Amino acid sequence: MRSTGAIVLLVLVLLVGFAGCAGCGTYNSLVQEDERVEALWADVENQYQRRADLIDQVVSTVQGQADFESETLQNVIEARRNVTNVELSADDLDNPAAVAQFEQAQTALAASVGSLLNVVREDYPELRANEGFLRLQDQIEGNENRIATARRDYNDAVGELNGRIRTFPAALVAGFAGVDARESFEAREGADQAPEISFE
Amino acid sequence: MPSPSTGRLRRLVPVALLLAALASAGPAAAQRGDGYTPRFDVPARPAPARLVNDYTGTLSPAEQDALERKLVAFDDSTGSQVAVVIVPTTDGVAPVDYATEILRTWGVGRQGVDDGVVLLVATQDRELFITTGYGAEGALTDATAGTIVRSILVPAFRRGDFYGGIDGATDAIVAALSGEFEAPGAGPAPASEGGVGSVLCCLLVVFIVLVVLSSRQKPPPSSQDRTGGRRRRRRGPGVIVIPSFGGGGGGFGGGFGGGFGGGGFGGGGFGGFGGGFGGGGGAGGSW
Repeated sequence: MRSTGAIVLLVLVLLVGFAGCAGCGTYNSLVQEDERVEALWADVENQYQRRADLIDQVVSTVQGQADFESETLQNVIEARRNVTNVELSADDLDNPAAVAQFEQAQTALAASVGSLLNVVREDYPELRANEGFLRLQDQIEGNENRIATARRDYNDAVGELNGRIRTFPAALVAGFAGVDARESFEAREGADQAPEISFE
Repeated sequence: MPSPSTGRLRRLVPVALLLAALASAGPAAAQRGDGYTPRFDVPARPAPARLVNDYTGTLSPAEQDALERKLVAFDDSTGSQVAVVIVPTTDGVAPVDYATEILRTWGVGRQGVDDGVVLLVATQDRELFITTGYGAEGALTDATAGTIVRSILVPAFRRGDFYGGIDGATDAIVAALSGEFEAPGAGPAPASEGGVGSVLCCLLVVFIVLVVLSSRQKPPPSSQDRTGGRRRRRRGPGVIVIPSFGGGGGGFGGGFGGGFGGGGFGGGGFGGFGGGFGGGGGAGGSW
Protein backbone atom coordinates (compact mmCIF):
# COMPACT_ATOMS: atom_id res chain seq x y z
CA MET A 1 0.00 0.00 0.00
CA ARG A 2 2.35 2.67 -1.15
CA SER A 3 -0.69 4.68 -2.10
CA THR A 4 -1.05 6.33 1.30
CA GLY A 5 2.42 7.75 1.09
CA ALA A 6 1.67 9.04 -2.35
CA ILE A 7 -1.47 10.75 -1.19
CA VAL A 8 0.22 12.39 1.75
CA LEU A 9 2.98 13.62 -0.50
CA LEU A 10 0.47 14.88 -3.02
CA VAL A 11 -1.48 16.69 -0.35
CA LEU A 12 1.67 18.36 0.90
CA VAL A 13 2.63 19.40 -2.60
CA LEU A 14 -0.86 20.74 -3.19
CA LEU A 15 -0.86 22.60 0.12
CA VAL A 16 2.44 24.33 -0.52
CA GLY A 17 1.67 24.90 -4.18
CA PHE A 18 -1.76 26.28 -3.62
CA ALA A 19 -0.69 28.50 -0.75
CA GLY A 20 1.91 29.83 -3.15
CA CYS A 21 -0.72 30.37 -5.84
CA ALA A 22 -3.06 32.16 -3.51
CA GLY A 23 -0.22 34.26 -2.15
CA CYS A 24 0.90 35.18 -5.65
CA GLY A 25 -2.59 36.09 -6.78
CA THR A 26 -3.37 38.09 -3.67
CA TYR A 27 -0.02 39.85 -3.79
CA ASN A 28 -0.48 40.81 -7.41
CA SER A 29 -4.02 42.04 -7.03
CA LEU A 30 -3.13 43.99 -3.89
CA VAL A 31 -0.24 45.71 -5.59
CA GLN A 32 -2.46 46.43 -8.57
CA GLU A 33 -5.17 47.86 -6.36
CA ASP A 34 -2.61 49.97 -4.56
CA GLU A 35 -1.37 51.32 -7.88
CA ARG A 36 -4.94 52.05 -8.87
CA VAL A 37 -5.38 54.12 -5.71
CA GLU A 38 -2.22 56.04 -6.56
CA ALA A 39 -3.38 56.62 -10.12
CA LEU A 40 -6.72 57.90 -8.83
CA TRP A 41 -4.89 60.16 -6.44
CA ALA A 42 -2.90 61.51 -9.38
CA ASP A 43 -6.24 62.38 -11.03
CA VAL A 44 -7.32 64.25 -7.92
CA GLU A 45 -4.00 66.04 -7.76
CA ASN A 46 -4.17 67.05 -11.43
CA GLN A 47 -7.60 68.53 -10.92
CA TYR A 48 -6.41 70.50 -7.90
CA GLN A 49 -3.46 71.74 -9.94
CA ARG A 50 -5.88 72.80 -12.64
CA ARG A 51 -7.97 74.62 -10.05
CA ALA A 52 -4.90 76.61 -9.03
CA ASP A 53 -4.11 77.45 -12.67
CA LEU A 54 -7.68 78.55 -13.35
CA ILE A 55 -7.68 80.71 -10.25
CA ASP A 56 -4.52 82.38 -11.48
CA GLN A 57 -6.45 83.29 -14.62
CA VAL A 58 -9.33 84.63 -12.57
CA VAL A 59 -6.94 86.73 -10.52
CA SER A 60 -5.28 88.23 -13.56
CA THR A 61 -8.63 88.91 -15.21
CA VAL A 62 -9.96 90.64 -12.11
CA GLN A 63 -6.73 92.56 -11.59
CA GLY A 64 -7.23 94.05 -15.04
CA GLN A 65 -10.47 95.49 -13.73
CA ALA A 66 -9.77 98.90 -12.23
CA ASP A 67 -10.91 99.51 -8.65
CA PHE A 68 -11.76 95.88 -7.91
CA GLU A 69 -12.49 95.39 -4.25
CA SER A 70 -9.01 94.71 -2.93
CA GLU A 71 -9.71 92.75 0.23
CA THR A 72 -11.56 89.99 -1.62
CA LEU A 73 -8.82 89.81 -4.20
CA GLN A 74 -6.08 89.73 -1.58
CA ASN A 75 -7.80 86.83 0.18
CA VAL A 76 -7.72 84.82 -3.04
CA ILE A 77 -4.08 85.64 -3.71
CA GLU A 78 -3.17 84.69 -0.15
CA ALA A 79 -5.07 81.40 -0.27
CA ARG A 80 -3.60 80.63 -3.68
CA ARG A 81 -0.08 81.14 -2.37
CA ASN A 82 -0.85 78.95 0.63
CA VAL A 83 -1.96 76.06 -1.57
CA THR A 84 1.42 76.01 -3.27
CA ASN A 85 3.09 75.44 0.08
CA VAL A 86 0.84 72.58 1.09
CA GLU A 87 1.33 69.85 -1.44
CA LEU A 88 0.30 66.30 -0.75
CA SER A 89 2.24 63.56 -2.46
CA ALA A 90 1.00 60.00 -2.81
CA ASP A 91 3.44 58.96 -0.10
CA ASP A 92 1.66 61.16 2.43
CA LEU A 93 -1.74 59.64 1.80
CA ASP A 94 -1.47 57.43 4.87
CA ASN A 95 -0.77 60.47 7.04
CA PRO A 96 -4.02 61.96 8.41
CA ALA A 97 -2.39 65.22 9.48
CA ALA A 98 -0.95 65.88 6.03
CA VAL A 99 -4.26 65.09 4.37
CA ALA A 100 -6.11 67.39 6.78
CA GLN A 101 -3.69 70.22 6.14
CA PHE A 102 -4.05 69.81 2.41
CA GLU A 103 -7.82 69.80 2.69
CA GLN A 104 -7.79 72.93 4.79
CA ALA A 105 -5.69 74.86 2.29
CA GLN A 106 -7.85 73.77 -0.65
CA THR A 107 -11.07 74.56 1.19
CA ALA A 108 -9.82 78.04 2.04
CA LEU A 109 -8.88 78.64 -1.60
CA ALA A 110 -12.27 77.49 -2.88
CA ALA A 111 -14.08 79.64 -0.33
CA SER A 112 -12.08 82.75 -1.21
CA VAL A 113 -12.73 82.28 -4.93
CA GLY A 114 -16.38 81.67 -4.20
CA SER A 115 -16.70 85.01 -2.48
CA LEU A 116 -14.74 86.74 -5.23
CA LEU A 117 -17.16 85.40 -7.83
CA ASN A 118 -20.08 86.53 -5.69
CA VAL A 119 -18.63 90.00 -5.63
CA VAL A 120 -18.28 89.91 -9.41
CA ARG A 121 -21.86 88.76 -9.76
CA GLU A 122 -23.24 91.49 -7.55
CA ASP A 123 -21.06 94.49 -8.25
CA TYR A 124 -19.45 94.05 -11.65
CA PRO A 125 -22.22 93.38 -14.19
CA GLU A 126 -20.06 94.18 -17.22
CA LEU A 127 -17.42 91.66 -16.12
CA ARG A 128 -20.06 89.11 -15.37
CA ALA A 129 -21.57 89.41 -18.84
CA ASN A 130 -18.16 89.24 -20.51
CA GLU A 131 -17.95 86.09 -22.67
CA GLY A 132 -14.34 85.48 -21.71
CA PHE A 133 -15.24 85.61 -18.05
CA LEU A 134 -18.22 83.31 -18.63
CA ARG A 135 -15.95 80.78 -20.28
CA LEU A 136 -13.56 81.03 -17.35
CA GLN A 137 -16.48 80.38 -15.04
CA ASP A 138 -17.47 77.32 -17.11
CA GLN A 139 -13.95 76.00 -16.70
CA ILE A 140 -13.91 76.61 -12.97
CA GLU A 141 -17.27 75.00 -12.54
CA GLY A 142 -16.25 72.01 -14.67
CA ASN A 143 -13.06 71.73 -12.68
CA GLU A 144 -14.99 71.67 -9.41
CA ASN A 145 -17.19 68.89 -10.81
CA ARG A 146 -14.12 66.93 -11.83
CA ILE A 147 -12.55 67.41 -8.42
CA ALA A 148 -15.71 66.05 -6.79
CA THR A 149 -15.81 63.07 -9.16
CA ALA A 150 -12.10 62.31 -8.82
CA ARG A 151 -12.34 62.48 -5.03
CA ARG A 152 -15.28 60.07 -5.01
CA ASP A 153 -13.43 57.65 -7.28
CA TYR A 154 -10.39 57.88 -5.06
CA ASN A 155 -12.46 57.39 -1.90
CA ASP A 156 -14.19 54.35 -3.37
CA ALA A 157 -10.87 52.75 -4.27
CA VAL A 158 -9.38 53.56 -0.87
CA GLY A 159 -12.39 52.12 0.90
CA GLU A 160 -12.07 48.94 -1.10
CA LEU A 161 -8.34 48.64 -0.49
CA ASN A 162 -8.58 49.45 3.21
CA GLY A 163 -11.34 46.90 3.65
CA ARG A 164 -9.31 44.29 1.86
CA ILE A 165 -6.07 44.65 3.73
CA ARG A 166 -7.87 44.30 7.02
CA THR A 167 -9.31 40.92 6.12
CA PHE A 168 -7.91 37.48 5.42
CA PRO A 169 -6.09 36.52 3.22
CA ALA A 170 -4.91 39.88 1.97
CA ALA A 171 -4.09 41.00 5.52
CA LEU A 172 -1.28 38.42 5.60
CA VAL A 173 0.19 39.57 2.33
CA ALA A 174 -0.30 43.33 2.67
CA GLY A 175 2.67 43.92 4.96
CA PHE A 176 4.90 41.87 2.74
CA ALA A 177 3.66 43.74 -0.34
CA GLY A 178 4.24 47.10 1.34
CA VAL A 179 0.60 48.10 0.93
CA ASP A 180 -0.71 50.38 3.68
CA ALA A 181 -4.15 51.72 4.47
CA ARG A 182 -4.78 55.18 2.96
CA GLU A 183 -6.74 58.15 4.14
CA SER A 184 -9.99 58.86 2.41
CA PHE A 185 -11.38 62.36 2.15
CA GLU A 186 -14.87 61.75 3.39
CA ALA A 187 -13.82 61.25 6.98
CA ARG A 188 -12.11 64.65 7.00
CA GLU A 189 -14.82 66.69 5.49
CA GLY A 190 -18.06 65.13 6.57
CA ALA A 191 -19.34 65.14 3.02
CA ASP A 192 -18.06 63.88 -0.27
CA GLN A 193 -18.48 67.23 -1.92
CA ALA A 194 -15.60 69.40 -2.85
CA PRO A 195 -15.76 72.83 -1.32
CA GLU A 196 -18.32 74.66 -3.38
CA ILE A 197 -17.70 77.44 -5.74
CA SER A 198 -21.18 78.29 -6.82
CA PHE A 199 -22.74 80.69 -9.24
CA GLU A 200 -26.22 81.23 -10.44
CA MET B 1 -2.02 -2.30 -4.57
CA PRO B 2 -1.43 0.48 -7.00
CA SER B 3 -4.70 0.42 -8.84
CA PRO B 4 -7.16 1.79 -6.22
CA SER B 5 -4.74 4.45 -5.11
CA THR B 6 -3.99 5.48 -8.65
CA GLY B 7 -7.69 5.77 -9.19
CA ARG B 8 -7.97 8.05 -6.20
CA LEU B 9 -5.08 10.12 -7.38
CA ARG B 10 -6.66 10.42 -10.77
CA ARG B 11 -9.74 11.81 -9.16
CA LEU B 12 -7.61 14.49 -7.62
CA VAL B 13 -6.41 15.77 -10.96
CA PRO B 14 -9.63 17.67 -11.74
CA VAL B 15 -9.49 19.16 -8.26
CA ALA B 16 -5.96 20.34 -8.86
CA LEU B 17 -6.94 21.78 -12.20
CA LEU B 18 -9.91 23.53 -10.64
CA LEU B 19 -7.73 25.04 -7.93
CA ALA B 20 -5.27 26.14 -10.57
CA ALA B 21 -8.04 27.82 -12.52
CA LEU B 22 -9.41 29.53 -9.43
CA ALA B 23 -6.08 30.87 -8.33
CA SER B 24 -5.13 32.09 -11.77
CA ALA B 25 -8.33 34.11 -12.13
CA GLY B 26 -6.39 37.18 -11.12
CA PRO B 27 -7.01 40.81 -11.96
CA ALA B 28 -7.77 41.59 -15.56
CA ALA B 29 -6.02 44.26 -17.59
CA ALA B 30 -6.58 47.58 -15.89
CA GLN B 31 -8.83 50.04 -17.68
CA ARG B 32 -9.96 53.24 -16.13
CA GLY B 33 -13.51 51.98 -15.73
CA ASP B 34 -12.63 48.59 -14.30
CA GLY B 35 -14.22 47.72 -11.02
CA TYR B 36 -16.63 50.62 -11.29
CA THR B 37 -19.79 50.09 -9.30
CA PRO B 38 -22.74 52.38 -10.01
CA ARG B 39 -23.37 55.01 -7.37
CA PHE B 40 -27.11 55.28 -7.91
CA ASP B 41 -29.79 54.18 -10.35
CA VAL B 42 -29.94 55.62 -13.81
CA PRO B 43 -31.90 54.22 -16.77
CA ALA B 44 -30.50 50.82 -17.79
CA ARG B 45 -28.35 50.68 -20.88
CA PRO B 46 -30.86 50.50 -23.76
CA ALA B 47 -31.22 47.16 -25.54
CA PRO B 48 -31.02 47.24 -28.48
CA ALA B 49 -28.45 49.96 -28.07
CA ARG B 50 -29.49 53.43 -29.20
CA LEU B 51 -27.76 56.77 -29.00
CA VAL B 52 -30.96 58.81 -28.71
CA ASN B 53 -33.03 57.83 -25.68
CA ASP B 54 -36.10 59.87 -24.90
CA TYR B 55 -37.86 58.58 -21.78
CA THR B 56 -40.36 61.43 -21.79
CA GLY B 57 -41.91 61.47 -25.25
CA THR B 58 -40.64 65.01 -25.79
CA LEU B 59 -39.34 64.22 -29.26
CA SER B 60 -41.46 62.64 -31.99
CA PRO B 61 -40.31 59.24 -33.34
CA ALA B 62 -39.29 60.96 -36.59
CA GLU B 63 -37.19 63.50 -34.71
CA GLN B 64 -35.56 60.74 -32.67
CA ASP B 65 -34.76 58.81 -35.83
CA ALA B 66 -33.23 61.85 -37.51
CA LEU B 67 -30.97 62.49 -34.51
CA GLU B 68 -30.14 58.80 -34.21
CA ARG B 69 -29.10 58.60 -37.88
CA LYS B 70 -26.85 61.62 -37.55
CA LEU B 71 -25.14 60.36 -34.39
CA VAL B 72 -24.77 56.79 -35.67
CA ALA B 73 -23.13 58.16 -38.82
CA PHE B 74 -20.72 60.12 -36.63
CA ASP B 75 -19.96 57.00 -34.57
CA ASP B 76 -19.39 55.00 -37.76
CA SER B 77 -16.98 57.51 -39.24
CA THR B 78 -15.00 58.50 -36.14
CA GLY B 79 -15.81 56.03 -33.35
CA SER B 80 -16.76 58.87 -31.02
CA GLN B 81 -20.16 58.38 -29.45
CA VAL B 82 -22.59 61.14 -28.57
CA ALA B 83 -25.63 59.97 -26.60
CA VAL B 84 -28.76 62.05 -26.04
CA VAL B 85 -30.76 61.14 -22.94
CA ILE B 86 -34.02 62.85 -22.03
CA VAL B 87 -35.49 62.00 -18.63
CA PRO B 88 -38.28 63.64 -16.65
CA THR B 89 -36.12 64.21 -13.56
CA THR B 90 -32.75 63.35 -12.06
CA ASP B 91 -34.38 62.55 -8.70
CA GLY B 92 -32.52 65.27 -6.87
CA VAL B 93 -29.11 64.21 -8.16
CA ALA B 94 -26.95 66.99 -9.57
CA PRO B 95 -27.26 66.91 -13.39
CA VAL B 96 -23.49 66.54 -13.78
CA ASP B 97 -23.44 63.45 -11.57
CA TYR B 98 -26.48 61.94 -13.27
CA ALA B 99 -25.01 62.47 -16.73
CA THR B 100 -21.62 61.11 -15.66
CA GLU B 101 -23.28 58.06 -14.17
CA ILE B 102 -25.05 57.37 -17.46
CA LEU B 103 -21.82 57.82 -19.39
CA ARG B 104 -20.02 55.41 -17.09
CA THR B 105 -22.63 52.70 -16.69
CA TRP B 106 -23.59 52.65 -20.35
CA GLY B 107 -19.98 52.97 -21.44
CA VAL B 108 -20.48 55.77 -23.95
CA GLY B 109 -17.38 56.15 -26.14
CA ARG B 110 -14.61 53.69 -26.86
CA GLN B 111 -12.92 51.85 -24.06
CA GLY B 112 -9.48 53.26 -23.40
CA VAL B 113 -10.14 56.24 -25.71
CA ASP B 114 -13.04 57.45 -23.57
CA ASP B 115 -14.33 59.74 -26.30
CA GLY B 116 -17.99 59.65 -25.35
CA VAL B 117 -20.33 62.58 -24.73
CA VAL B 118 -23.72 62.53 -23.00
CA LEU B 119 -26.23 65.31 -23.50
CA LEU B 120 -28.67 64.98 -20.63
CA VAL B 121 -31.99 66.83 -20.52
CA ALA B 122 -34.29 66.65 -17.48
CA THR B 123 -37.55 68.15 -18.66
CA GLN B 124 -39.39 68.56 -15.34
CA ASP B 125 -36.28 69.86 -13.58
CA ARG B 126 -35.60 72.21 -16.53
CA GLU B 127 -31.94 71.26 -16.21
CA LEU B 128 -29.49 70.04 -18.80
CA PHE B 129 -25.88 68.95 -18.87
CA ILE B 130 -23.30 68.05 -21.50
CA THR B 131 -20.72 65.72 -19.98
CA THR B 132 -17.55 64.56 -21.66
CA GLY B 133 -15.52 61.37 -21.41
CA TYR B 134 -11.88 61.73 -20.37
CA GLY B 135 -10.72 61.52 -23.98
CA ALA B 136 -13.26 64.06 -25.26
CA GLU B 137 -12.36 66.78 -22.77
CA GLY B 138 -9.59 68.20 -24.92
CA ALA B 139 -11.74 68.64 -28.02
CA LEU B 140 -14.96 69.60 -26.29
CA THR B 141 -13.75 71.75 -23.42
CA ASP B 142 -15.91 72.88 -20.54
CA ALA B 143 -15.89 76.37 -21.99
CA THR B 144 -17.07 75.11 -25.39
CA ALA B 145 -19.74 72.98 -23.74
CA GLY B 146 -20.81 76.03 -21.74
CA THR B 147 -21.02 78.10 -24.90
CA ILE B 148 -23.17 75.44 -26.57
CA VAL B 149 -25.46 75.39 -23.54
CA ARG B 150 -25.79 79.17 -23.35
CA SER B 151 -26.00 80.00 -27.03
CA ILE B 152 -27.91 77.02 -28.47
CA LEU B 153 -29.68 74.84 -25.93
CA VAL B 154 -31.05 77.31 -23.40
CA PRO B 155 -32.49 79.80 -25.95
CA ALA B 156 -34.15 77.00 -27.97
CA PHE B 157 -35.54 75.26 -24.87
CA ARG B 158 -36.95 78.57 -23.64
CA ARG B 159 -38.85 78.77 -26.92
CA GLY B 160 -40.06 75.22 -26.33
CA ASP B 161 -38.07 74.00 -29.34
CA PHE B 162 -36.47 70.86 -27.89
CA TYR B 163 -35.68 69.24 -31.19
CA GLY B 164 -34.12 72.39 -32.61
CA GLY B 165 -31.95 72.84 -29.51
CA ILE B 166 -30.79 69.23 -29.39
CA ASP B 167 -30.21 69.11 -33.15
CA GLY B 168 -28.13 72.29 -33.07
CA ALA B 169 -26.25 71.22 -29.95
CA THR B 170 -25.36 67.79 -31.34
CA ASP B 171 -24.14 69.46 -34.55
CA ALA B 172 -21.90 71.70 -32.46
CA ILE B 173 -20.67 68.78 -30.32
CA VAL B 174 -19.88 66.75 -33.46
CA ALA B 175 -18.01 69.73 -34.93
CA ALA B 176 -16.00 70.19 -31.74
CA LEU B 177 -15.12 66.51 -31.48
CA SER B 178 -14.18 66.33 -35.17
CA GLY B 179 -11.39 68.77 -34.54
CA GLU B 180 -9.52 66.19 -32.53
CA PHE B 181 -10.96 62.79 -33.17
CA GLU B 182 -10.37 62.00 -36.80
CA ALA B 183 -9.04 58.47 -36.50
CA PRO B 184 -7.09 57.94 -33.33
CA GLY B 185 -7.73 54.18 -33.21
CA ALA B 186 -8.48 52.51 -29.94
CA GLY B 187 -5.43 52.12 -27.75
CA PRO B 188 -4.10 48.58 -27.42
CA ALA B 189 -5.38 46.78 -24.39
CA PRO B 190 -2.53 46.60 -21.89
CA ALA B 191 -1.34 43.08 -21.12
CA SER B 192 -2.49 41.58 -17.88
CA GLU B 193 0.64 41.64 -15.76
CA GLY B 194 -0.86 40.33 -12.58
CA GLY B 195 -2.22 37.15 -14.13
CA VAL B 196 1.04 35.82 -15.52
CA GLY B 197 2.74 35.08 -12.21
CA SER B 198 -0.12 33.14 -10.71
CA VAL B 199 -0.77 31.25 -13.94
CA LEU B 200 2.86 30.09 -14.03
CA CYS B 201 2.68 29.27 -10.38
CA CYS B 202 -0.37 27.10 -10.90
CA LEU B 203 0.98 25.40 -13.98
CA LEU B 204 3.93 24.42 -11.82
CA VAL B 205 1.63 22.86 -9.24
CA VAL B 206 -0.26 20.94 -11.89
CA PHE B 207 3.04 19.77 -13.35
CA ILE B 208 4.27 18.56 -9.97
CA VAL B 209 1.01 16.75 -9.34
CA LEU B 210 1.30 14.98 -12.67
CA VAL B 211 4.92 14.07 -12.00
CA VAL B 212 4.00 12.66 -8.61
CA LEU B 213 1.16 10.72 -10.14
CA SER B 214 3.23 9.13 -12.85
CA SER B 215 6.18 8.36 -10.60
CA ARG B 216 3.96 6.63 -8.05
CA GLN B 217 2.20 4.50 -10.55
CA LYS B 218 4.97 1.99 -11.08
CA PRO B 219 7.44 2.19 -8.25
CA PRO B 220 10.62 0.09 -8.48
CA PRO B 221 10.53 -3.08 -6.38
CA SER B 222 13.34 -1.81 -4.14
CA SER B 223 11.07 0.90 -2.77
CA GLN B 224 8.71 -1.62 -1.26
CA ASP B 225 10.06 -1.17 2.25
CA ARG B 226 10.07 2.58 2.12
CA THR B 227 6.54 2.92 0.92
CA GLY B 228 5.49 0.15 3.21
CA GLY B 229 6.79 2.22 6.09
CA ARG B 230 4.69 5.13 5.05
CA ARG B 231 1.66 3.01 5.11
CA ARG B 232 1.43 3.63 8.82
CA ARG B 233 0.41 7.19 8.18
CA ARG B 234 -3.28 7.58 7.98
CA ARG B 235 -4.78 8.59 4.75
CA GLY B 236 -7.49 10.52 6.54
CA PRO B 237 -5.92 13.97 6.19
CA GLY B 238 -5.78 13.66 2.42
CA VAL B 239 -9.46 13.11 2.17
CA ILE B 240 -10.32 15.84 4.64
CA VAL B 241 -7.88 18.49 3.59
CA ILE B 242 -8.59 18.44 -0.09
CA PRO B 243 -12.26 19.43 0.07
CA SER B 244 -11.37 22.26 2.42
CA PHE B 245 -8.88 23.44 -0.17
CA GLY B 246 -11.67 23.74 -2.64
CA GLY B 247 -13.73 25.78 -0.21
CA GLY B 248 -10.88 28.10 0.62
CA GLY B 249 -9.86 28.49 -2.96
CA GLY B 250 -13.06 30.27 -3.86
CA GLY B 251 -12.05 33.22 -1.76
CA PHE B 252 -8.88 33.79 -3.68
CA GLY B 253 -10.48 33.85 -7.07
CA GLY B 254 -11.69 36.68 -9.23
CA GLY B 255 -13.20 39.82 -7.88
CA PHE B 256 -12.05 41.96 -10.75
CA GLY B 257 -13.54 42.16 -14.19
CA GLY B 258 -14.79 44.89 -16.45
CA GLY B 259 -18.53 45.21 -16.78
CA PHE B 260 -18.34 47.48 -19.78
CA GLY B 261 -18.71 45.27 -22.82
CA GLY B 262 -20.17 46.68 -25.98
CA GLY B 263 -23.26 45.40 -27.73
CA GLY B 264 -23.46 43.41 -30.91
CA PHE B 265 -23.83 44.84 -34.37
CA GLY B 266 -27.22 45.31 -35.90
CA GLY B 267 -27.75 45.83 -39.60
CA GLY B 268 -27.03 49.46 -40.30
CA GLY B 269 -27.99 50.61 -36.81
CA PHE B 270 -25.97 51.63 -33.82
CA GLY B 271 -23.29 49.06 -32.99
CA GLY B 272 -23.43 49.41 -29.24
CA PHE B 273 -21.66 51.39 -26.59
CA GLY B 274 -17.94 50.88 -26.46
CA GLY B 275 -17.08 51.08 -22.75
CA GLY B 276 -15.96 54.69 -22.45
CA PHE B 277 -15.45 56.43 -19.12
CA GLY B 278 -15.52 59.96 -17.86
CA GLY B 279 -14.98 62.08 -14.80
CA GLY B 280 -17.56 64.82 -14.61
CA GLY B 281 -16.27 67.23 -17.24
CA GLY B 282 -18.54 69.44 -19.32
CA ALA B 283 -21.05 72.15 -18.57
CA GLY B 284 -24.73 72.54 -17.92
CA GLY B 285 -27.45 75.01 -17.33
CA SER B 286 -31.15 75.45 -16.76
CA TRP B 287 -33.87 77.10 -18.79
